[in-house]
Amino acid sequence: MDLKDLEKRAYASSFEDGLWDIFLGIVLFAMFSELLFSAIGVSWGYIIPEPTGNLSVSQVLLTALALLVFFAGKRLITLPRMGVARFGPRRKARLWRIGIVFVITAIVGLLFALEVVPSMALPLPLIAWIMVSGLGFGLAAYLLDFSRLYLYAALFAASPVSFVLLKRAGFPIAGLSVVAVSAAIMIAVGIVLLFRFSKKYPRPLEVQ
Amino acid sequence: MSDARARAGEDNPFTDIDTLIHEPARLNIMAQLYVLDSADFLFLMRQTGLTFGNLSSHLSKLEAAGYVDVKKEFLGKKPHTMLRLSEKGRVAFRNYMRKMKRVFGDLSGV
Repeated sequence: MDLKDLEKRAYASSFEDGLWDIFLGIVLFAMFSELLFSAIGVSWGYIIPEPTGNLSVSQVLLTALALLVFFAGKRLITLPRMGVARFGPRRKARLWRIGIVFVITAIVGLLFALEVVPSMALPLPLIAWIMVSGLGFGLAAYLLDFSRLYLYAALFAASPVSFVLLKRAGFPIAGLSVVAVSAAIMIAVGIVLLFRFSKKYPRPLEVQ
Repeated sequence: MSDARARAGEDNPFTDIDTLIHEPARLNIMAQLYVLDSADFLFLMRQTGLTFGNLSSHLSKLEAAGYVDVKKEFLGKKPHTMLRLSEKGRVAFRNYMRKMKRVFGDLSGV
């Protein structure tokens, strides 16, 4: 009996429901919506309008939707089927480290999104984006023992960069497609996992 | 018990195994709770693969022995039961592992 493996398997069950996949997919789709607005030259619907920033209403709404789907899914689908577990201090310490990594990721990501440093709009923010999303998600994948997150780290790092590079090369639609397909892959994986999870763990009637 | 039998018992690692933990279903429950801080009944049911009745009966035995603490709390407005290995349970499980290692260590020369 390998107790470490037992703990890992118990923890990995948190990702069996596919809600993280759906959440990350919608977040990337929110980025796609902003890139689409910017590519087709829509000037309305921005909270922080261009050229100062490019935070669109759709991006904010879709990110809020991602959070809503995640928390509602956990509360209404996962908990009644899987139950609740609290993990030991080692796992909690790992979660703290992940929290710090994501705060840094969010700050740098926001700087990128708002193009706070316009003179360095390219290529430094792009490099920063690759490093932060790739390393941030990669490190989180390692600390969480969540192997699919490695793939999502690659998709998050590569898709906005592909969009920018393909747009520069004169193929903005192809660039947008890369982002949309990456988001669609994550959402599709999440939906399949959620479906399988619901079938594997039906809602028990007799358990409180 | 004669002196000879008592001495044989001292040398025999099988005599001192905690039979409450040794039962496979309870061993599974103890191991699950050992690696967690706490879990509810449903989570344990999913992880161990035991049925509601089976898990309930084994948990009662472990609780009666003082190995498992049962804590009633509220999750939103619903009452919720969390289970955790007591300090006595943790010590008993560690002792059990140590003794089983010794048993298998002794058997390895065969």
